[in-house]
Amino acid sequence: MSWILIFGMVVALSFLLYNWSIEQATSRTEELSKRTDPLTCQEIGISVDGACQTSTTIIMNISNVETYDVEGFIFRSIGIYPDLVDYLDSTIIYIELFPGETEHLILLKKGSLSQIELVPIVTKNNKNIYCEEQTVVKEVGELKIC
Amino acid sequence: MLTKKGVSPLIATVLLLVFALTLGGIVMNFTQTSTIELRDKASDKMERGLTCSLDLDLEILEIGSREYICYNRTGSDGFGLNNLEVIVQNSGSANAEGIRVFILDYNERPTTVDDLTPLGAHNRTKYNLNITKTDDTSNFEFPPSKIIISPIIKHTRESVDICSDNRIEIEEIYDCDEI
Repeated sequence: MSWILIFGMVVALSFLLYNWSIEQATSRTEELSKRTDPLTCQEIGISVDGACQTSTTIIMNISNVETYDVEGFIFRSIGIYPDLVDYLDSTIIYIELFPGETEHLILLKKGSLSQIELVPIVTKNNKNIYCEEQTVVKEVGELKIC
Repeated sequence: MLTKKGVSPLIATVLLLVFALTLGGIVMNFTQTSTIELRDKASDKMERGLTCSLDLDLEILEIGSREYICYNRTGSDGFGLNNLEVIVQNSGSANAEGIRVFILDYNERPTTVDDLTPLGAHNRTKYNLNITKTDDTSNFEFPPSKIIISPIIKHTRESVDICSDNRIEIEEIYDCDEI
């Protein structure tokens, strides 16, 4: 009788321990995959063409050249004079861009720009992923006066 | 011979049972509390580790293939400030409360400066740090030979929590007039 009781207790304890460890491992894996999603960003690609600036706006054509929908962009800009307050600027623009689609974009800006950066934003499982590794940078030589 | 009466076997069993259950309850409660405390501590450490390694990604901003970090002196005749200008970009999804800058001067003398200007997620911040007064007794000499920048993730009066595994090390620092 005692052997059966001990055996039952061992089985019950192992079952509890197994369930607990599986739960822990699953929650950690989910947390890690929530924090980083390099595979999704590998399917993202944008191209920026025909960029030029006027005194108040920056104009460009943005194309989605890959297979995943782009939901928007972080638009970062750097001015010419480092001492000015708006030397560094950053805004989020939400424009849905389907694969193969091109959008003609006109954005307001302050002063002349020496560099712009566009970081694509995608949505997966209701969460925004900022694909920094797919950032497109345009330097001063590519930002001519329109 | 045996004149004294003891408790009946039934009451003794019940007493023992109550005693065992109470003791079991106390031990279980104690272990549960300490286990939860331990789990929370481990979870906090893990959370901090994940924030440091995955959610913060610092680099010096590059403009025209040159990193924006430079030194300058203000004032003249030995009265002024030794400044360091740097733009730090955070490509990660966590915010930093500021940066800690460790500097070795031209003669390898160390100085540490904290700047609590926030560095937001997916954003950039320009820091203009006053390292030393040029007329003070520290004999700090520009140009710096090495700079290490680390993000501050939590800053209180008592402590500063720094992500040292996410630091940036720079050994080539130019005069701001050259940039």
